[in-house]
Amino acid sequence: MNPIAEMIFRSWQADYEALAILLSVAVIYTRGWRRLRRRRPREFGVARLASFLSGSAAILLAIASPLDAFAGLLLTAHMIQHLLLLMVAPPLLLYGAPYLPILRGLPARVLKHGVGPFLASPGLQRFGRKLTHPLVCWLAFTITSLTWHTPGFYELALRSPFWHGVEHLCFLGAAMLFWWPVIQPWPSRAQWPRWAMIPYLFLADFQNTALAAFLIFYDRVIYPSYAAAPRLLNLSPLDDQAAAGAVMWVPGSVAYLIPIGLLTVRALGSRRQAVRPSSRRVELPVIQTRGASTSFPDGRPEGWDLLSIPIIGGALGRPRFRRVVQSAMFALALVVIADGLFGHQMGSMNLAGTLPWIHWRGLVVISLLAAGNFFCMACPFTMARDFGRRWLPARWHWPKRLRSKLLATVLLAVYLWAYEAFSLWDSPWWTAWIVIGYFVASFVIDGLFKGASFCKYVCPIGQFNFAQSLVSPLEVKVRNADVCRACATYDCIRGADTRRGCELGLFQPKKSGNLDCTFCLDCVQACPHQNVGIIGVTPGSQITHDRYRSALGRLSQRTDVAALVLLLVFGAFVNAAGMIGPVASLERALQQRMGLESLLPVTSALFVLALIVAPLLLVALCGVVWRALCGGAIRLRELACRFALTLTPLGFSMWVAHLSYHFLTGAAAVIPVAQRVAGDLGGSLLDQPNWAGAAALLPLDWLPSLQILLLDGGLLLTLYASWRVARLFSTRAGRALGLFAPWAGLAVLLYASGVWIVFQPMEMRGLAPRMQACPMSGRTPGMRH
Amino acid sequence: MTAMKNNRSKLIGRYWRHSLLFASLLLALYSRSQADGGGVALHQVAGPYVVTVFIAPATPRAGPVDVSVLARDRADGRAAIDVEVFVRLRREGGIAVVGHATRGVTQNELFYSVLMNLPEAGQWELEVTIKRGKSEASVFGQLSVAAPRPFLLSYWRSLSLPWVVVTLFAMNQWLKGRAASRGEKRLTTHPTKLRCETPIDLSLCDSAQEGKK
Repeated sequence: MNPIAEMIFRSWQADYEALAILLSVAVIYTRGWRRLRRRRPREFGVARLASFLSGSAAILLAIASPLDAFAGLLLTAHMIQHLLLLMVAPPLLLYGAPYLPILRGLPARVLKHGVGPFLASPGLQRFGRKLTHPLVCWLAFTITSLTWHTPGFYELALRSPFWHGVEHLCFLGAAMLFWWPVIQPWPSRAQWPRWAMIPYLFLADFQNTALAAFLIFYDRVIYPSYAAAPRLLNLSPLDDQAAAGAVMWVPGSVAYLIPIGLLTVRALGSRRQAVRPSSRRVELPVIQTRGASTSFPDGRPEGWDLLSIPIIGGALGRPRFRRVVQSAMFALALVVIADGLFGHQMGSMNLAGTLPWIHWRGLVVISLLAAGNFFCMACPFTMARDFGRRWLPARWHWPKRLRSKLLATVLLAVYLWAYEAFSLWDSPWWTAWIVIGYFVASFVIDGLFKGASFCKYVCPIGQFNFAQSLVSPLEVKVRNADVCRACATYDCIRGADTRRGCELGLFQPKKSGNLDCTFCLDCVQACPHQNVGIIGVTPGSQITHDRYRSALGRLSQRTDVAALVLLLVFGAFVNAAGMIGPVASLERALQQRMGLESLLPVTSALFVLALIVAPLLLVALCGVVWRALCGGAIRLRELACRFALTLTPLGFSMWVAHLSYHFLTGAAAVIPVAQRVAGDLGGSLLDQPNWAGAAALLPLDWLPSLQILLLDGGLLLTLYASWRVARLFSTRAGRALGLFAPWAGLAVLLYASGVWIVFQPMEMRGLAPRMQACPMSGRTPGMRH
Repeated sequence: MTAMKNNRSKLIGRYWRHSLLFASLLLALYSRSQADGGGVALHQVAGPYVVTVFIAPATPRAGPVDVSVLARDRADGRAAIDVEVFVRLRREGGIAVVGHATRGVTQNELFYSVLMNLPEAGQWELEVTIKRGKSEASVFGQLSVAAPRPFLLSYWRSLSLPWVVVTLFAMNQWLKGRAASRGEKRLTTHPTKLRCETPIDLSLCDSAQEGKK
């Protein structure tokens, strides 16, 4: 093939956004079509599916093929693109009778609670009926077509990709409306007699012909962009314009004439049926949705069970699996300690400066977001616990006064402060000592005290994971509650033979949510009925209720849990803000103004303000606003405990946006560091370290959108959870709104600060001398931490 | 046993559907250079080539700017696809940004494209050099670069998402409340029977009828 022609045919554009939408709609349609076909095979034949998918393919052809690539250079290509969107894709999509399959393809809960109220609304039904009135449809199509072909609008679309997209959306929307009364997709009802569609199409063809004739016979180039564009096919702009007119005229008219012919034949063949619009309601099949039961007939929960997935489930269920993963993590921890103590003392060139702060943190939040608390499952520090018990008595109970989250909350606050104040990420030596301290603490505490006291009451990392895993999509829970009711041995908590029960005191039948669950799977292995699994749950669903939870009680009574959650939520924003330029400048300005030699007092004061004073004040303010808005007899403590939990998704989204950014941009930095370590040990790993060559895992262009999307998700889940909690407090919508408003305001404030942080230039103090300022969003290439 | 198998296949099916939808979401995040978008910034003849330079966005702003180059043989008008293209943008103050335009990232395979990061607004000198073997030809032009777009505008779609969802949710709750107050709660909470008259007339009726049948 001619290389030029080959290049032209290879000019497909990967319009991933459109592809994603088309793919999602096709999946939903196919799912719904399969369900409906079981009951109504005649109405939902294979032709419907083929037609709908062909329509989707026509859209893809229009917007992703070389037609789009050359639309700015050749009017003819642009016209073919428009014909696909106006004349080909819409009839094919509508012939697929997409209305019911798409609805049935949606998850039952979305259909029932999300879309259902809209569809049942009489006002929207009236609007839909008016919108699909043939007169409205014809006018919408004609006006859209004429408007976008006027030079001003056409040039706008050629200049701006955004307006080009709007133009295509308008064409597609108007064409869907235009073809609706012609195709009359099942089971909609015609508003005009079928024969009326013949003049309807003729009139549309008339305006199409008029426009096409204008393009062909006009003696000047109508759209100046084409006059300036390079002539690829040695076709003059005027010839190109005439060719585009011909495309519009001939294939365009054929697209009208075929249905006119078909309608005429049908009208002549069955005149009596065609003369009057049907006034009879079409009774559709009864479509069963799953009832309120949460279990399958064999007792399985509705959510999917990770342990039932082949290979992965089998491996996770084995006790040795955890030991193997822990051993690997233990070995990594030893390497980090060794390099941190004896290796190069620059954070970005040391394993202790990269593995814990870039990889481990990033992977922890990503796994919490995508699955669950799998770091605690693989925690190497609990291996020290097991060793500790061999040499130490482990016979005392953890002191009653310390049986809360307060100690862990204080330790977490100290850690967050130390991280900011001493730039821990840039100190391999300190990092190594923190890891050593962790091993010693778990060894001593769990060697002296019964149960998993270290995990439950002391470990700051564990508390972080427990709280964030409230938003995780997986939970260790019973598969069938009936089996537990019949159980008399309670092995899941007591243990059996050599199998341990839950050392954190979580009794599976009463357990709710992931709080305090380390995913150790001791309960899975101890249960003689194999009734415990890793079950898929709706993320955040455990935040809203206030049922009694095993080993935790009611969270509305747990001020310590609320304090922990607030610390983590505000900590997410403070931790991210600590690395941006404006905050660093503020600290330096304050330092100079106070005449201080060190930044430490300023950092500490700001830290106390942002992490302790601000949350307390804001929570109190929410209480004051709530009382002013609706008063009431609810105790502020209870209210704060309930609503503080609802902020978890937002805080978590900020942690993910921040830490995954470091991971996605800096993960490859471990390669030169490993090469440096190998070099220090006298060996060689592939080559000499290339400190500047480590690439980001994702294109940097993706990161701002990804980060904002994460914050969007966090805000929405927080708002939804707050609304649900407010509705639990009051069934009256107005009163619930009064309860919800201050907390929603706080969430929006945090979201806005998160977005602001994302777009600020980054300036890590520890790395300041050798790192150029660049936005946290990664808009400037080459940023590494 | 059969029920167990069915459940497992259902779960695996759900897993794949979710994976596909997740993949769609990831795809939606992806963006890349336009490669031929925007407007014509330069159209000149240099040596054996007719060179057209496109800039996207059409009104360039400080920040990432997509420069696409189409080089055609002067004699026969055929696109040159075996050349090397270098783009240089120089600010009057002396800052210069240099890029190697390639066809690997372009939508239109006839174009050579490069994404260049312009640090500041103002008047920039544009130089495009076409090399084939030892021969080379350059075209020169001016580029007026506007101030960067505020990030709120750049990311308006991502930033407006929560408010769209919140608005829809508020409407949903309002409609639910209104339906309940009109005694239509039965219809909205049991979408087990669908009856259609018009395109969006989907009355949701009780499933009791099916029980009777």
